Amino acid sequence: MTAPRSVLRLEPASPTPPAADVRLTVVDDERNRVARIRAGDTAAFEALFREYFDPLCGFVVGYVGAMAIAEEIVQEVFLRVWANRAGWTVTDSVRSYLYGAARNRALNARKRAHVADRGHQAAAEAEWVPGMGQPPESADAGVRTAEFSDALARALARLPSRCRETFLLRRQHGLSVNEIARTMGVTAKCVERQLTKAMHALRADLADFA
Amino acid sequence: MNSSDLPPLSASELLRLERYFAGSLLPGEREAVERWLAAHPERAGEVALHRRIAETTAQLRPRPAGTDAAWSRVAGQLTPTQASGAGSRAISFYRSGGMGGATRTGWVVRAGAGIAATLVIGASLSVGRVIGARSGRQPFREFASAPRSRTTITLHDGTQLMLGPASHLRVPLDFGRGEREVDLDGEALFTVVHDATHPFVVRTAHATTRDIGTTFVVRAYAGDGDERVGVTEGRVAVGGGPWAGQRSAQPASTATTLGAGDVAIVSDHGVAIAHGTGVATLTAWTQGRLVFDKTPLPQVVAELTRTFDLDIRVADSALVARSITAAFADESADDVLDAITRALGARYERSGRVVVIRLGSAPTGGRQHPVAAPALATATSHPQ
Repeated sequence: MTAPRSVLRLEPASPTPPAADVRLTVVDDERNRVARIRAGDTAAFEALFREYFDPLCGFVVGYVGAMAIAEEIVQEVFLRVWANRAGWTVTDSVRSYLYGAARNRALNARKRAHVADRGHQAAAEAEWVPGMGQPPESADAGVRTAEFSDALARALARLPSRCRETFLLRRQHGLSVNEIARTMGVTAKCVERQLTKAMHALRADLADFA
Repeated sequence: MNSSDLPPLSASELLRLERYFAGSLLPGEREAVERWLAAHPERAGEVALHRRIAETTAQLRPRPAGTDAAWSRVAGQLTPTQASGAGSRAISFYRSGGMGGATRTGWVVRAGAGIAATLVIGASLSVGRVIGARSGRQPFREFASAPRSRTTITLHDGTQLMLGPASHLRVPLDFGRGEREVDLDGEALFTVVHDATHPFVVRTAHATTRDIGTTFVVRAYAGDGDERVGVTEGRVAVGGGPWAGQRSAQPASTATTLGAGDVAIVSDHGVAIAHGTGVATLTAWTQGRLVFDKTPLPQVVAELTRTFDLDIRVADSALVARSITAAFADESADDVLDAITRALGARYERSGRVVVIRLGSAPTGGRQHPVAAPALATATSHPQ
């Protein structure tokens, strides 16, 4: 299920690359990468950071609401990897390791934030769920994309949390079923169950758009 | 909505569709799905909705995170390997930036723990090096103490502090201009000259401690699992949390006030307060005493490692779950190890810096003091 990670990948040198301006980068074999970081190779660490910081923040913000907090948490994940790099072991995939570590911290942070200040948390949630407008009034197949996105965001927010996590890790972060299983500490069967549950629920919720 | 009258798609059909949308099917499987789609036109609306959900979800992204800014923050905190024992990277330079466009440059210089320990074994090391002057970060001086040492430092505002073994303290160069903020990794006893207009703030990985006029002790060793703040005099406010130790943390929103005799335990579960106990244990090191109060063995080992600069290994996992209660004053490393292993029903073998603790009470090991445990030390063990 997991795609081999030792691949040639086209990486844009700038966020919006002119077609000619792309660099060919050899993306390291995962194990090699972990070994280099363990040995204290800052360049390997920086590459890992640059590859995963933004997606991980996008993932964590779903738990903690505010992007600034998500950035702190993800930063902490990387600093922890660096501080403990000598003993850093990745059993299978760096990606599931990072998502799993970020998830644990995010869940802990949210637990604490809930105790500390529920109101603030609720307000911060708005940053993640885009466009908290009214439900679309004219619900036919031709409704604008923005309305669909809004309705989808609300439908996602209504999913049970594990179900939502699974679906987002799959669709937004492109993790394989096995990677999601390791990230969340559950079996692959369980991930598949959550995925189909999410698909059923989202479709039912958005049936007006069919 | 005629599709809602159809029987729901099975889980395996849904998963196959999901992989089809993700483009992760093998060519043969892909064609099978396409054949299935062609054969079930009544499912077209439903499938189109699933596809739209899948594709739109992929686009629902919060605004991008500030990767460059975050990297420059992180790069400033990277330090060379502590575990690279041989002192092979005693001093390392790290340079970040230079990825096209505006170049951001940061230098961090720091002596590796290995060499610091070999140079100053048994003596206290107190270095104030200027770090970070060229980077975007605030420049600071760093004070470090070697294992086996305690270091006394007086800051220019008159605040006195004793830095515990194997600890690091960072003091910004503009210390005292606004809040008097320091960063601590390890343990230290602070006696703060109070100044309400310039509050004294100690930041650790998980907590922020603000003095309200006071003598207090902060313990935040990375391997401890929790951080502790104890007050011997006056009052302090402690805020805990994963980002509470960061400079951008909101002050005092979740802060807890401690009085004399209180100990705050900051862990992943939040801040817990113990009233009237534990401060003596927490400050024992400042008088050269070693006190354990139902302390788990791994923590005892970490403490002995710092206090005596030993490399202690516990060979039997059964021992790891045990706790130690003991007090030592001026005992040698061997006296302390002897009392502790005796209480555990274990023995130890020492060869130079390396100590191995294992089950069994065979007296023939490398023990140098097979006589009775010193009278001052009472060691008991608590299976957990």
